[in-house]
Amino acid sequence: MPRISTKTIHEAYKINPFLPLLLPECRTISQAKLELKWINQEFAKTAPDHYTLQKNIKKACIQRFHHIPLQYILKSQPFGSLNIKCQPCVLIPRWETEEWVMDLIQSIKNGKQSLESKNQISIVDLCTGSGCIALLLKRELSKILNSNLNVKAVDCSDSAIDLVNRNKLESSEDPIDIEVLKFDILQSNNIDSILSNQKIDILTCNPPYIPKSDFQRDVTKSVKLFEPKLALIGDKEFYSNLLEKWIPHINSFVYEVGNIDQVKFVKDYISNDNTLNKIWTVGSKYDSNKQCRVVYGYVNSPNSSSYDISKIFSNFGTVIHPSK
Amino acid sequence: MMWRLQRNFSALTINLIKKNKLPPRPKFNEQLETECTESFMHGGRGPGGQKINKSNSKVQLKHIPTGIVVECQETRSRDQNRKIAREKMALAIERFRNGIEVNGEVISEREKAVQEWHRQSKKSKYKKSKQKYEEHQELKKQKELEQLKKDEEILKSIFQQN
Repeated sequence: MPRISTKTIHEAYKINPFLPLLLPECRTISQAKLELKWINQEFAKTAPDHYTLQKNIKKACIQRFHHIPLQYILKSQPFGSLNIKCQPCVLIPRWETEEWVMDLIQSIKNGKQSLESKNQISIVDLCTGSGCIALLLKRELSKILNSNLNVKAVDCSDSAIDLVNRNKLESSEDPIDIEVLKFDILQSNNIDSILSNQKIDILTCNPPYIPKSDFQRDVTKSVKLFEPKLALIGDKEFYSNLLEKWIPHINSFVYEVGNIDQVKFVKDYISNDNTLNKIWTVGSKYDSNKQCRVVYGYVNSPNSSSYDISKIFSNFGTVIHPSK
Repeated sequence: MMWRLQRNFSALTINLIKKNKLPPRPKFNEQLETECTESFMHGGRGPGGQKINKSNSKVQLKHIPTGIVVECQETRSRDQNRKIAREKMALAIERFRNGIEVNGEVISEREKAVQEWHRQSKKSKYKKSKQKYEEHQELKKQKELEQLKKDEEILKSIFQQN
């Protein structure tokens, strides 16, 4: 990354003495100004007087100079209609995730008749982290659907479980009712406690998907230094876990991916399996930055039943493996 | 006489603007929604996802029939930015279609009314302060007069005693 010119630093200093501290992360003066405005707004809510406010802002700018993510400093990140609390040791929700979750909600809204014939809909979010996906789905879908909605959030890290429990109460005006489970899906073979004798309608997951070889090269400094590696580094283990363990128990899945190889891996597994390739359809979805972001799949239910999950996904992405 | 009548007449024709009766805010309706394309820009190409943590999100709306483009990245929330961009777009289209030119700037009917309201309220504020000042001056004069009368009476009484 190119060095910031002294001229820019001087210009920034003239506008506000704290601004040069934000330049290494923001790169441009306009972005830095915006960020300073947000810091100002956020701290102004709680500061008792002008002196402590200025002190807090200075502290935040210095933290930002040391590449601490803005969301850890302000302790929150907007996610759809929610304001998700953030704390160190838990991954910060990304805009890409927000984008596909909002699209998924819209798709469910369009095809809600096909879901409503079932009176108990079960959604499970694995590797939930801050709980953003599970909480947003629960909040938005309970407005749309008339059926009973049962949302479970699963994670293996203690700090993530703590944060989800906090976000349940604090991320919106009224508490959101989801079930939080601590469970290591890679280690444990016994997934019955999550299933509770019922097929899962939608399984969502934002697994760690950065391969170890890419970690040093591609990941930006603030992510590399301050976000948990547990939630970042991984390659195909979560996708093979999905295909081996979960697929008999689910009707559809939506998994976030980092690159096209992971989509191919899922697609190849299903198309090479003689029983799975008849009933499963697999598709992929790109984000607005034109990167491959989501792999999804669903079972084709028999024509006679009114419950049809495929209606939801008809406009969600592009199908890459149609069922035979 | 004639001069006075004219002045009164002109004073009557000023049309007073009330804050709660302004022309409505332009609305972003469903028809506009279909005419617009929305795109999101997050600065820079590259892998994205978990690898990069961007806190800003920019929303760009383009109205195809007129070619108006508005952008918004004021807040951290993408949801909020989308709402603000839509408000901005509605205003821009209102200006484009029913704009009024004031001092070389094209503004909407509502904005003109708001400007006028500010001007009038400023005027009325000035008037009020002037009135207050005059009342105060009058009071002061009366008090002085009373004081003088009292003094005179005292003086008279002293003279009579003598």
